[in-house]
Amino acid sequence: MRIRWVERAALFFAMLGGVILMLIALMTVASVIGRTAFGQPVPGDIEVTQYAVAVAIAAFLPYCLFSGGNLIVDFFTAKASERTKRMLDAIGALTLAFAMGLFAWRTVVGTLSVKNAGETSMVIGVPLWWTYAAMAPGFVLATLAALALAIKLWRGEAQAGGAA
Amino acid sequence: MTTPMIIGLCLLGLMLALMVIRVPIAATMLIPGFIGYWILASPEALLAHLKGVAFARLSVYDLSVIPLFLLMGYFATQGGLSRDLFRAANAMIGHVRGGMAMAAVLACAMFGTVCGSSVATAATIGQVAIPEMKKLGYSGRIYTATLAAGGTLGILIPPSVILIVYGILTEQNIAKLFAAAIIPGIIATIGYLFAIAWFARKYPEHCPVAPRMSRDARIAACKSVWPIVLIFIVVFGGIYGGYFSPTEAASVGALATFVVALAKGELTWIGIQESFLGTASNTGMIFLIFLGADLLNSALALSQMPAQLAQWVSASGASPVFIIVLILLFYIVLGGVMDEMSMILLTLPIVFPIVMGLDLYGLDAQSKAIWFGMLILMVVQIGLIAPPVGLNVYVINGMAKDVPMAESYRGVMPFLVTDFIRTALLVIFPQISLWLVQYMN
Repeated sequence: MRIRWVERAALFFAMLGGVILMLIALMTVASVIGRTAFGQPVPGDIEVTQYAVAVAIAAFLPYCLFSGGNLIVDFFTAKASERTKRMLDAIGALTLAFAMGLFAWRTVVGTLSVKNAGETSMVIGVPLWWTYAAMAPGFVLATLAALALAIKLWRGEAQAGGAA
Repeated sequence: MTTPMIIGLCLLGLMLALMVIRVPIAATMLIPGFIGYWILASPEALLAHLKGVAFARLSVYDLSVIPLFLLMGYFATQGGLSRDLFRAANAMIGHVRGGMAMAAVLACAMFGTVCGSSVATAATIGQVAIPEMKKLGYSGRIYTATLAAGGTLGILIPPSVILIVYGILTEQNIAKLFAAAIIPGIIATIGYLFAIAWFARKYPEHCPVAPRMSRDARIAACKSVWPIVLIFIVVFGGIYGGYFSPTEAASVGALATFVVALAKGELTWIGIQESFLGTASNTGMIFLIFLGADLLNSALALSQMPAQLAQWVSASGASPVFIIVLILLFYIVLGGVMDEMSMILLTLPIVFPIVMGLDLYGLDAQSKAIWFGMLILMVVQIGLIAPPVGLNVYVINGMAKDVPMAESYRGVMPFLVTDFIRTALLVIFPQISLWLVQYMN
């Protein structure tokens, strides 16, 4: 399996998440100024913030897995050989891939059922399934990232993780 | 014991077993969570729960504050604000014995007002302070210990990621929690300065003295920290002046720090990228654990174990303060092998009901919750620098490269002593944390 493109995509997603945060910060400042100076905040600023940040967090997950953001308890295996640790970490990455895959699958199913139910946000009536749909790619890529990490550890292209 | 309770215990056992064999902490909670939910409710219920849980847990307005405060901290790091802080503090007190180490602690405390993470604070101030302390001839023992301990001020002094997580789990007002942490934060800073002063008197050869700077140089160094003071005033003045919520404050702070760093000409395109990636890695880590703890705790709640445990403890007749001390000791031991954030997320849904069921100095529910939050912060701080696994010591020792780990842990001891004294004071006198809170509203 070619792994490079998964890493590139994870990097791209992380940057995208950062840009979303910056846009949210800009909107919030506009809203605070509007509210304090003119008594008129940006409509729906709170719900836009919470949905957009949820999308950003989902987009951050794949990069987090590649950059060693998945903490491991190192204490009990501190004396094990590098090879043993790497194999254990490969298995650990697989369990994470399983969990992320489950979230990806269920979030896609959730998107469809929320879309059918026609739920919208309270203030400005944004369809809720948009947020679901925007979060799903983060989980799908996180699954692939965890699989890629397992392969890299297996092949010896990545080092065993550090302390937690 | 009921069957669900036995299942609950088995889930915790499975989690620990998975941790021992190096499964990532998030997965050690997710897997038993899946299994527990599957058995205690039903497979259909698990699948239905999973459909909405990611959306429900990630799209919480109060939680949106975490990535934004993290971003703010990274902008401050990349924008060179940490260097100005350290230089200013060093200009003021660098000439006393141990002064440069004290300056590093003060810089950490100041940086803690824009950064909510302890590892980030330790690493950021470490980047500027370690080379200078090395150059002056400080020993590895004192400079690694100073930075590791000083970094913990990052989570003690608001904003604090741990406190935000605590506030959300226990449904407490984050602005009040921040206010409660201010005085313990100041006491901690003073305690660390004393620890350095004591160490420098006992081992003067470890801490050479630097020449005193000219008055003009000192004034110039102090002037350069105005941006960070301004950001602090805007962010916390905004929260406590009632202009905006903590989440909005994080947005304002992130943008203000971004602008200041750009205006200083220090924030490059690479720096912006690094800020985004650091935020991504850190945010992802926190929310992965958050999802895991949430799922496992849902399963445990189905087993009735936490409720039973709370009932059992309050019926045991043991002295409430004694139970608090036992809980804190349990945290200190657990924090020795486990990451502190995971520990809090995992255990709080079990421990918090126990604490709320105790009669502690006749405090009302809110005061009790805020006070216990401060105690949690104290044990997290201890866990970050205490052997055998202190994350901050690990990170700083890694940065220093040529200092033996045992040396760093030896250096950390005086700081740990002040941590324990402060924790004991806070257990005995809850007012230390609650005094400022009562002036709010």
